[in-house]
Amino acid sequence: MRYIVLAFFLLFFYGCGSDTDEKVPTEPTETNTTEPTETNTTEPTETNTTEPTETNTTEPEPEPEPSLPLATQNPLFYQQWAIHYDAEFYAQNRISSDAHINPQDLLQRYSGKTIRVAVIDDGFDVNHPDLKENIIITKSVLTDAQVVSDVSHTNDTDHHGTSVAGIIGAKNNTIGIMGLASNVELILIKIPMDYSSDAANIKAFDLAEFYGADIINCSWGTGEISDGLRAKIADLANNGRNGKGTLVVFASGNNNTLMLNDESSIEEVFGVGATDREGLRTLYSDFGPDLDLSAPGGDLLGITTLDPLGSDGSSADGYIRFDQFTDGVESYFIGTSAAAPIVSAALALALEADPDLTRTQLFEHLQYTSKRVGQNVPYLHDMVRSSSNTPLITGTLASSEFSDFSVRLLSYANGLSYGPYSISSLGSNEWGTFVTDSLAEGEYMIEVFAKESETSDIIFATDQSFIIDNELNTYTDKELQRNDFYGYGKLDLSELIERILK
Amino acid sequence: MRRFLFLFPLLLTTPLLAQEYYYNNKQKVQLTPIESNTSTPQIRSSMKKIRYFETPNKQIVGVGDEIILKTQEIQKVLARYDLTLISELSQDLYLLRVRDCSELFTLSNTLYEDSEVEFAHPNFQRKVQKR
Repeated sequence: MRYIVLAFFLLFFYGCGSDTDEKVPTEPTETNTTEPTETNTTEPTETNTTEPTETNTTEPEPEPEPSLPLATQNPLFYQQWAIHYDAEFYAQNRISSDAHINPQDLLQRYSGKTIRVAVIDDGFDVNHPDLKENIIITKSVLTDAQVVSDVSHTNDTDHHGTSVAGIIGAKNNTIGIMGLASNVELILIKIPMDYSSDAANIKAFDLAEFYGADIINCSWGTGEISDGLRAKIADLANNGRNGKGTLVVFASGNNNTLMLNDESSIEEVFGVGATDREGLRTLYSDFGPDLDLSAPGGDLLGITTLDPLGSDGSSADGYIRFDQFTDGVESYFIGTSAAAPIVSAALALALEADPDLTRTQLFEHLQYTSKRVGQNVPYLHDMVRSSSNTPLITGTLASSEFSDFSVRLLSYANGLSYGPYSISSLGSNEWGTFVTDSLAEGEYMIEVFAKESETSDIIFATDQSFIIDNELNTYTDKELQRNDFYGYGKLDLSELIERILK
Repeated sequence: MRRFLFLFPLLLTTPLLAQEYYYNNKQKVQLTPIESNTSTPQIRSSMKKIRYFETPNKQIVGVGDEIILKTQEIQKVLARYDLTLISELSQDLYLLRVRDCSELFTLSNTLYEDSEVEFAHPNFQRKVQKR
């Protein structure tokens, strides 16, 4: 994914966003399309002989591990800024103090024990020492066989499934990292990450169901979902887990566009966008009314996670660092592919806290507890500059609660900030502010502050910058910005668990 | 007369370039055929004779001789149409093979309109995109 994301960034900044230019190498023939059923499928032959069950019916007791030294035990844990606050690391990398998912002490109280998470992906290193203990089943939709090789992937070099699975369920041990749900039971289901048939994709979900997945993570999408796959996913989400509903999580996409009519847009699916080190929507994350919530996916800072061992990986020791370069090229793991597994793992902890939660209940809990990224904050919707160096910035107040704020401008060119400028009411919930400084030509980011804390807390920052160009009469696209800031929240784990336990 | 002469070759070539359609999410989706060449994805599949189409969203999809269908009356469907059952993908969700690839869309759309069938569409090969 990192190569795709990096390519996307290059394309994005040069005005092109196509993602359909990948070559399609060989795909193993889809010779076996027989679905697993109670009667026609052999039981899994993995060394772990845990029988698949429809659901986990026993209510597990959270096992507190009060003195577990997570940071020292997992040597790279300090880099896992998405799920852990390390003051020194945060300061060194200029990470906003609330960029993480607010885990507090929950990683010492919950680990996703007995919860089954299926990861449908490709590029699994099933023998990675930081992962293998949590893997209970590995399957390929192409051959109906157990995946047994060290790295099983369709393309020659890929790590995607390993990295995604690591974010969810890397073991809490004395090596590397730990997953957010470090005791989950992982079901790894391989699909080809190039061209795959509707039937094969349906089969992947059927396998997940058969092996008793409570949660299914999909850090991918097809762009155009068929009726068959839509029906299968909706059926699982409505009727899986003995009627409580299987939790199906999809990444929203990395093209900075309205979400496509694909898997992540299905009503019953948790569609996940990505936030950056400031806790804001990343520049690449797809958005729209079907987006359900967001989680850290990285931007200028990657998500440290697993990488296949040996020559199949891009790192020397089986871990992709937050700042990794390979052959001089940025190769860290970022994207909604990284955000989705954080949500999947959080859902595993939530189910550990209360296994009887239904999908709809969890959805409501998430909606209620997610920290607002774009909703109920002042919408910045228009800006008229008329080739002026002192533009008027206007917007709409979504709520009078947020009427007391000011605006600051940050120059991309030299890093200088201008303002803050107080806003004035323009009537009918409209607001505006004149920039009193004369701005040089260039690109600026707009940040909005609560007035009482204008030097610290950004309550809202646009991902849309604007450009001062004396030759052009530029303006921001109102419709795009309205969609861009369609309300969705960032995962707040502590709030979520607290609400569940109430 | 000259107009008719002009139209005649056009009519002859039209069937070769004809668009196809299928139903998705209760809407008719037009597909534009693409000639297989070096730039089209070389999809390897057990399906016969993969044909390539471009969707309205400019995505390339491949189809062969397979249909996905949801029905609670599979035996009635099999008795009524020239189809071979390959497998049951999930409850009431079936993968079927048509005898004649050129009839794939016609048969798929006929099935879609059958009151015993909830939906039907070709078994598309689609690009799975990592995110």
